[in-house]
Amino acid sequence: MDNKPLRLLIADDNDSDRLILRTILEKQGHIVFSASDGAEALVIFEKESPDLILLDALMPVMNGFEAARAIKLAAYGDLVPIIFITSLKDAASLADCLKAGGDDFISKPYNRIILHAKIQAHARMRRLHEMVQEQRDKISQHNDHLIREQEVAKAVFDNIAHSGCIDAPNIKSLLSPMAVFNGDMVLVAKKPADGMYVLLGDFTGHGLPAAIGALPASEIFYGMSRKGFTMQEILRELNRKLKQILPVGVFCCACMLDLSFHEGMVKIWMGGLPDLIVFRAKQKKIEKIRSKHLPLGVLSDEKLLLQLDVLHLEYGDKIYVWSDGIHEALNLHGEMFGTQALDQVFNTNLLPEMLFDEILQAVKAFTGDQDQDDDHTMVEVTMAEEQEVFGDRQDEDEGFAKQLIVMDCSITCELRPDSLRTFNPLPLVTHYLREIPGLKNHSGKLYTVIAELYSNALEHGLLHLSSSLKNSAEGFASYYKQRTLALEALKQGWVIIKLNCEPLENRGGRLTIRVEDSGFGFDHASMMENQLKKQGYSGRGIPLILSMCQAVRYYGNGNVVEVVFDWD
Amino acid sequence: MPSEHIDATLLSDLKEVMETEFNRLVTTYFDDVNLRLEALQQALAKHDLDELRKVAHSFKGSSSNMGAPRLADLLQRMEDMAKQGSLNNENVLLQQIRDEYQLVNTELKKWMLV
Repeated sequence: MDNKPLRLLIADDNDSDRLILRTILEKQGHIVFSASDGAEALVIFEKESPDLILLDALMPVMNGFEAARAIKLAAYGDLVPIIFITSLKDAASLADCLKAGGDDFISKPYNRIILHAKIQAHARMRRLHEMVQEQRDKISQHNDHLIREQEVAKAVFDNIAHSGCIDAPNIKSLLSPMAVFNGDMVLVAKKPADGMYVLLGDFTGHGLPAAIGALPASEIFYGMSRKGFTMQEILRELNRKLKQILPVGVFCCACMLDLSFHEGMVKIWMGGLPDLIVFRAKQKKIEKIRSKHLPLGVLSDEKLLLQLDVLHLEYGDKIYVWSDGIHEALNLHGEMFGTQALDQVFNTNLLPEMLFDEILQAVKAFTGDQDQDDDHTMVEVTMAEEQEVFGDRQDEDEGFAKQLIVMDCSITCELRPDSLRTFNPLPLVTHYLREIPGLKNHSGKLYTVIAELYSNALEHGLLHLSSSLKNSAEGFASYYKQRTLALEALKQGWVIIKLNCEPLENRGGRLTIRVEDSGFGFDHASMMENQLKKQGYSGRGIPLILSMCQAVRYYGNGNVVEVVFDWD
Repeated sequence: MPSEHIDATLLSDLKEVMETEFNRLVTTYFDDVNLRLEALQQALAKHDLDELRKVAHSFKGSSSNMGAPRLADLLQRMEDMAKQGSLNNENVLLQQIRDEYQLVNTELKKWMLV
């Protein structure tokens, strides 16, 4: 390597000196370009791009110092070593050579051995510098490539994650990524009938490895929400999938809300996230709900517990869910924002609509606008009327178009105790109805009707639960507790759902939904009379059903109910 | 003046490196010196100290390379004088330079014949 010929530029105004230097260097095997002043040296430098330059310090037209500065400027980032040849003796003049951008100096008369050694030393420096630059360029290319890949991945992720209704007017969310994406997700989906699901997830770690789990998670969340699965079923599937695909040590701290506008109720499941806050708008008080579970993707399916907190919500009440980024935000002194500071924001709030912004401002003021150490992810969910939230929003399309003409058929589904405990027939039934031309646009309505009839049959018919419990806010929780206990204890009985579909002459068709249970039935005649007068959302929901369908009829002891739905 | 007129070791090295180019080098040096001596004379006449310093410096460099240390020393003195801006017996020094060069010239001509 040391004897590789170099391209050298020499500049000296002295003809004899130049001749000596040129001869010595050519003997050493190098290619030599010579100039007799600084200006000529600069011209040759730009034309020939030499590897190394030997400059006389004092020259006419442009002296060595000026030439050195101009050459260093013209070389951009390239390292072009400049060795001054000089008969200057005083230290100040030699220092000037280096100050002007020179890398070294040798003095006249020339010493061939020193000349050779210095040229080789600087050539090595130059090669080293080239190598560093090549590697820097390579790293920069890799980085660009990585960023492009992340942008593509983020675009895919956004397409999936934003297919929901995170833009609903009762949702405020903050997702501030540290990198292109950060492993936090906020997903909001409209349920087929009343209400919405909200999921905040925080995957361990950062960057691509953390974000990758969010793709299947949001697919599952949106897919199952659309098909009418319950919150427990969705959580169970999310846990199963994440446990299966994520490596050990990577998991997803999560909180899922099942918000029912019609019933004024929220069901909450939390795994591994900081306390959730419920803000009671009227009383201006907060309640905290603590995580009772491990994050998703940790436990096997058999060990996963899905105990829910059930709360009654008034219009305007707000729920705050966050990743630990908010609580753990650091200030200049390395202190954490913490829960007390957060409580303080709620205590001093005057306008509930401002809470979300006040929390953000408090965190910002505390950290003093430092770069984020963690991801700040937060979502605010406000209890509202369904019409306010969704208006006339249509159900999301599933994205595959097929034309099946299913018009003249019926299906029957009979569920016995084990199935009643574990299986939710509503997605299956909804899926079937969506296949029928003309019914797809009514699937939300029909889901509501069938869900109501099925829960009547199961909860009142088979489990003998009293709907009057649901009249009070506190009653909700105990109602759902009793339901779970009774379902566990169920030894015998069945529920049959039968759907019959037939075309009508000249227009649409007729769907008959028949739900029968093995219970004792009830006094349907007088109930029907009462129900028609009474407002409210409990007690078999008959007014609601009647508002949607052509007819509701009870048979037998009241253990058989039939609903007729005609469509155009 | 301690230095020799001619550094024989340096010159034989130079002759070895230059090979057939040695004689051309010496004549190039002679041509150069004639120009430099003229330039020194003129700079002194015009009292152009900056020019004087540059010419002396360059002349000194080539003379040291040509193995004429004593001539180089005399030129160093001229350069220093010009740099300090206080001329003192400058014409005497210039004459010393001319005389020294005549000796060097004679010696180098002998080396051309070896």
